[in-house]
Amino acid sequence: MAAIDARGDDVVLRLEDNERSLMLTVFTDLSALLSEDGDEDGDRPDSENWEARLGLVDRPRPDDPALLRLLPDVDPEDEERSAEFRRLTEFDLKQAKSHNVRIVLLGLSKGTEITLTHDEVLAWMKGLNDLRLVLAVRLGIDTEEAQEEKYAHREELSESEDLTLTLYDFLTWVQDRLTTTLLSRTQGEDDE
Amino acid sequence: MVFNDPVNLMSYVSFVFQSYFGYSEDKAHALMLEVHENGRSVVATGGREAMERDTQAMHEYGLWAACQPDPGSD
Repeated sequence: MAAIDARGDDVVLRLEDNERSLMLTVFTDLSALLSEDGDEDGDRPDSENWEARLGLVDRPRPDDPALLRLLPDVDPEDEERSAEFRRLTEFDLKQAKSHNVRIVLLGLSKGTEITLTHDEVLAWMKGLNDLRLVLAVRLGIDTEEAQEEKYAHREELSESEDLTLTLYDFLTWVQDRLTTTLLSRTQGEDDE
Repeated sequence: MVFNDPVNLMSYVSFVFQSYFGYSEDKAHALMLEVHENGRSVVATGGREAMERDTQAMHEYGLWAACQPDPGSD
């Protein structure tokens, strides 16, 4: 069973082998999802795409609902404004999310006992949240009612859905523990 | 404006409001509960550029956020 504890300014995360390898797999998938280039020019990676970086080219609204959840419209009621905002900001947002995922993957590559600095914990929290958003879309959890429904009728889920839900719960636990660890630290500082 | 979402954890939303907006623990908690109970909450208001920057930041945290012009400002 995984454990998360504060150690000085760092946070130490201990994972079981199977938890670590599963996380490596799903974060690698998330990295791939974020690096998919929606542009017509699919041969060129985002990092070399200067027009996109400078906001000079339109970026298509993602077709994949999971990717759209990661890169949402700025104003769902205004298509034109959302398209403009996407052109100007989506590149940076995607880069920031990919960066978080890279920090998670780097941590996981170090073994089952992972020491994280404050900034690394932040990247992990964001990366875990993004991954959970993607899994929730894949599971059809878009409202609290839908979520309750999933848990209430768990025995009716397919084997793969049931595994995904177990993974989702595990990631929820890790994210919540990391968050409360940082929160208790800032609250501790306020009390001093 | 931040919308409710079954994925975003109460602890995490409260953390984001404290660390990004610099809100107190109590204010962050109250806003988080408002999102949770009312389905949405206006967590910041201001000029278009500042609000778009905040929305972008919320998207980076993975919160479901949007910014819309104040209907009264047209």
